[in-house]
Amino acid sequence: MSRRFPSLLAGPLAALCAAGLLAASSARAQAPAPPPDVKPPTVVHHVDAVYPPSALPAREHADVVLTLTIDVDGHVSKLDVAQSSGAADLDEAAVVAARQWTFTPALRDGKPVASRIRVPFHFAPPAPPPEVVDTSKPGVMPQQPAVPPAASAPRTEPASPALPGSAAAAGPASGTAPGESAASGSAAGATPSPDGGTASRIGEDEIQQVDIHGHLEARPHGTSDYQFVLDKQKVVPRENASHALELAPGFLLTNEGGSGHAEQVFLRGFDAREGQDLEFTVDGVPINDVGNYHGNGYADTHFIIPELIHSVRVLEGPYAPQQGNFAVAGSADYHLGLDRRGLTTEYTVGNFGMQRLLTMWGPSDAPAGTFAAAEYYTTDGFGSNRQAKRGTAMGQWETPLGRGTLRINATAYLTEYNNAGVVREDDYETGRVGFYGTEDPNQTGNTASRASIAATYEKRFKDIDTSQQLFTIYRSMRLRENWTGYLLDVQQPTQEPHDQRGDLIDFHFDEETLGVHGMARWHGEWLGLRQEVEAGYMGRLDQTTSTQDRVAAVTNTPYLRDADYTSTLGDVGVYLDGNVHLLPWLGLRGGVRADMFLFDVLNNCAVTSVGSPSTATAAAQIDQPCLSQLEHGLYREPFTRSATSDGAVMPRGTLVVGPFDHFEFTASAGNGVRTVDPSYVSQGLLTPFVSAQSRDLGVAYAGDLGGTVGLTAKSVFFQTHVDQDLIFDPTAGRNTLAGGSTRTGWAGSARALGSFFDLSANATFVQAVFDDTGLLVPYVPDIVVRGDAVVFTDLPWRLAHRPVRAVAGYGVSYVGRRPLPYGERSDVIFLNDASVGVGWTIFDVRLSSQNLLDARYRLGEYNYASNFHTAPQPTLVPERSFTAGAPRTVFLSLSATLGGG
Amino acid sequence: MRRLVPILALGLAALACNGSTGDHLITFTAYARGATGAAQPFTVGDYSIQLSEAKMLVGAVYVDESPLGNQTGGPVCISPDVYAAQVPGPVEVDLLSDQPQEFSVYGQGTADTGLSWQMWLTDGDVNEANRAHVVDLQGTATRTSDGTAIPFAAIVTINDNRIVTTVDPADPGANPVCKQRIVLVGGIDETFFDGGKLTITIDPRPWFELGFDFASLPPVDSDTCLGGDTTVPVDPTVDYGSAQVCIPNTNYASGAGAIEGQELFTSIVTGGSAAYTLQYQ
Repeated sequence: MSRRFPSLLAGPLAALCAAGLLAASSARAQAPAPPPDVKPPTVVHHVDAVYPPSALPAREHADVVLTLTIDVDGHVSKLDVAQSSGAADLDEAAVVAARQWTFTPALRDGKPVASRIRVPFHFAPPAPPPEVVDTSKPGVMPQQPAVPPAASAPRTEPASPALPGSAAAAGPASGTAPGESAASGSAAGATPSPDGGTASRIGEDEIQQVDIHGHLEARPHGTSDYQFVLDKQKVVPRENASHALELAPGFLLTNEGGSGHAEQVFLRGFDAREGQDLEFTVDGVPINDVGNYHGNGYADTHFIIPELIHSVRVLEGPYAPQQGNFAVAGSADYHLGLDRRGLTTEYTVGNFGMQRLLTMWGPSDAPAGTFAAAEYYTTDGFGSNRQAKRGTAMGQWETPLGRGTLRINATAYLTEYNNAGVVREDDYETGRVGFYGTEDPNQTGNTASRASIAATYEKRFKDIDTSQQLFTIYRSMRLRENWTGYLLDVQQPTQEPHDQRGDLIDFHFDEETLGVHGMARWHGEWLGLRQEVEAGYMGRLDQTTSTQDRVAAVTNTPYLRDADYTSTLGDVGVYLDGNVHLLPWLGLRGGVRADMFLFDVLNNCAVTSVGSPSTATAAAQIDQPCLSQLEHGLYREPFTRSATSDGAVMPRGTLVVGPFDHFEFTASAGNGVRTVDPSYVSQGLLTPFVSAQSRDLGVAYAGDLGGTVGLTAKSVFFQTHVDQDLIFDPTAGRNTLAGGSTRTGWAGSARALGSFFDLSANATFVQAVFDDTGLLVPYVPDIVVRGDAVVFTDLPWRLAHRPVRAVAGYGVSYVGRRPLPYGERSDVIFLNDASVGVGWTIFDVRLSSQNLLDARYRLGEYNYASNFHTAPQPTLVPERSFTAGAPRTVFLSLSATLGGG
Repeated sequence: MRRLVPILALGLAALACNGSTGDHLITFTAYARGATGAAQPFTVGDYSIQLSEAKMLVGAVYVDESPLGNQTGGPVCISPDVYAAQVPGPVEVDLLSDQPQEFSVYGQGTADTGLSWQMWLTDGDVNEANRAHVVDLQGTATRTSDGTAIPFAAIVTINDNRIVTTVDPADPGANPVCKQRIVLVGGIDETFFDGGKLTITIDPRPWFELGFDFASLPPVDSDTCLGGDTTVPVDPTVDYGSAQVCIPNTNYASGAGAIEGQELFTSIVTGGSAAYTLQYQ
């Protein structure tokens, strides 16, 4: 479509394309001047509207006109769509941005008064512009370099006054509050037209520029780059923040460790466990633990209050130089924001004793990036050993500072939960253990906590946008789980004769992190096309301790120490990322990233004087496992450190061709790395990371149906190879390094957005095999299908003259029979989730159900040897075990919002 | 393109459902039986032995993927990740019958090859005190030189009466009782598959090959025959029947039958492939 209107692509406006410039209106020449005693509001803080990712492939231009009511403090207190673009996502993007604008209030006789203005947004795609820039055409957004230097000064000019005949001038009849003046603002040199819409007359001499504040958006890197604004999709019941990722294709999330345990992530042929192969961040702040013996890269997202997720960016594959450690299968970045302004209190009650109290607030006259929220959650769980409770608090303050935006985020999260663990299939079949039962009731007392503070400052200069971030994180977790029962405790000659004491793992991890992020993005013109070059860095230093003990079932006390590591881990990455347009239809995005990893590990598990043990001390060391802790063939002393470092240089790039008639084609390739846990360094591994190589071929489509329904679709063929895969070892209770593996597959997704619905569907087919044997990688699902549907509308009747809002959401998941060890396949998972809700004035009520059809399913399935003393003699050969998926859960939520504007 | 994408996707979908992680889990039926001819008289040294009762309690069978190897320290009672198959339930085998007698549970395993196997002689926890008779024997030994018939009996239990005393205080756990309850047998090369039938054959005749002097065994009403294992009291009427002498149920008897008591137990636990065979078909 966009190829039909090359002349309209007047500026290479990149991904942030709407209202990149807010000009003072030139209405002085075309409209009556305001009354002498009225001074219209002027823009102080301006946030870009983000071109919706769902519309990116279409590269459509569109216009949205908003009516903003500015209160006496200069904040947007009311906001309406005066003229829709016809696409809900574009309208929404304009609304979300405008809500964050701040102004100096309108003045009447020198006193601030409320006012109303109209702001047209013009959306232009981020594709390279044509060679010919013709800003005289209607709706054209001049490119920024064309702005006269003088216009780059901070905007101080008043927004133009309302025009006669415009809606804004209609006074109270059109919603203007008493005492309000009416004014009209416009975007990027667009002159307000008599009807208040975007003018058809634009002159470069009318163009003025304001400071651009707000969140610097990442540039897309290929078809596998999925960016979702959740918005109405929040209606679909999702267990926690991790499940928001399912809007991107290929995700399967399981959890064998209890409700406070990180989700196990399967993605595009990877068993990423709890995040080892997927880089998780929240607004750039890392979530993955490093040095976590249970899972290096363990990513617990439960500290994120789902209602605060504004959008999620999932990049499947290591194709962006910004992606760091663990971005092997890809990366996921949560972008926080509170769209529901005001003070909201929500109480939710559900079956299995579930209760949740949530309170959150975001002043209506503050940007969406300013919010606070806190929750308390408790549940008895749907079966044995599944009790859990948690408390979470998150707050963020976003404010203009100088010519930039400062954002400070703080979080605190605590949880305690029990863990049912696995159930042997034969025990379930014979009735010894219930489907929702537990083999070991001692898997209790699990905890997790996190506290973090992050400060981000983003500033836009004339031709360089910059961002600097500083963060510090404290993380702690305790995990008690028993995979094997009574299997591993072998009588040693040096031990007093004993019964098997049990294999219950008691794992503890502490992490303190200090890190920085920074980037600068230059944009300029070359070959007549807009070009961008971004350079950035990331650094984090982690001090971690990991201990893992085995606990005797009878006494519930540790009897054996598996691991005890104290580590200092460092990672400094630097990258260069270009967004180069060679032709209007040909671009290259990507560059190179280099990371330097440092590991300094102290294995406290080494035995004193083990190099020359005496018989006198040997008996006392009956359970010390450290006798096997060799380093380069030599026994270690407990004060002997192991250190190593190495660097990885990772080229990453995407070739973009198109769009041609709604289609855009991309070819991506890139390398990624995943560090190993410190135990391997202690054992002499000199290169502390594993490399992956990935490539994609993708095509994206974007169009509309009848002009009112936006439709996007993507298709990607991918292949990823990793030098050393991770394989779950139930005897160790964690993933351990295995041989190289390659996964090949296809992912497809589609989304349709209309004025009253949002439909999303995706599917992934993949085959992951080990390089040496050609055998399938176990546990990895080869078919994952997900669908989400949301409808939202006002009901046809009103209550007390107020509209009644209605929403309904439905999600369906299908996971094919996963390959399991020993040539087995799991059962199919087929789940349905649904919710319905109504709202009236400040009140909302919603009824939600997960696993609506009450399917009895096995969330995780395994084949390995375990012995839970449920047979006359030990069971020592592999047997099917499973973790039960949740039965039907039903929740009723009641909420009220005050001061939402 | 519009046609190519779905075609390729369908092709990948078909491919994605194929493949295997290798190996297979299996289940099978398991039986034990006596050796053919065990009910017939057999000659060992100066005696012709006719067994009238021979029973053995097999608590479980485990098939190891590794060969027997060097087991100088005795069996490692539970060694994870080495087993191809298991029958984790008991059967009391009438050793004088060569008819298959089914275990109380099905066998399970993986489609792998077993090179050695273990027979667990217990009906409970392999490390706990156990009241079960592992072996019950009754018969008549007839001295071929003079025709003297000596009705004899033996019970075998494995508790403190069999435990090996550890002499090194630095190795207090070197000889747990489980090591006495596990019979290691090598010399097999059986590949397991789903739905098969495992049969172990137990021949009691090799237990006597060390050559017992039945004439020197203690009478069944002696303290030696009534004692032996303090955990398991002896009811001579039931346990010894019409026998006149017993093979003592202990490794630590003194006087008459002391050696025979040790040797019978040793023969049982070290009988090897002469006494115990395993087949899978």
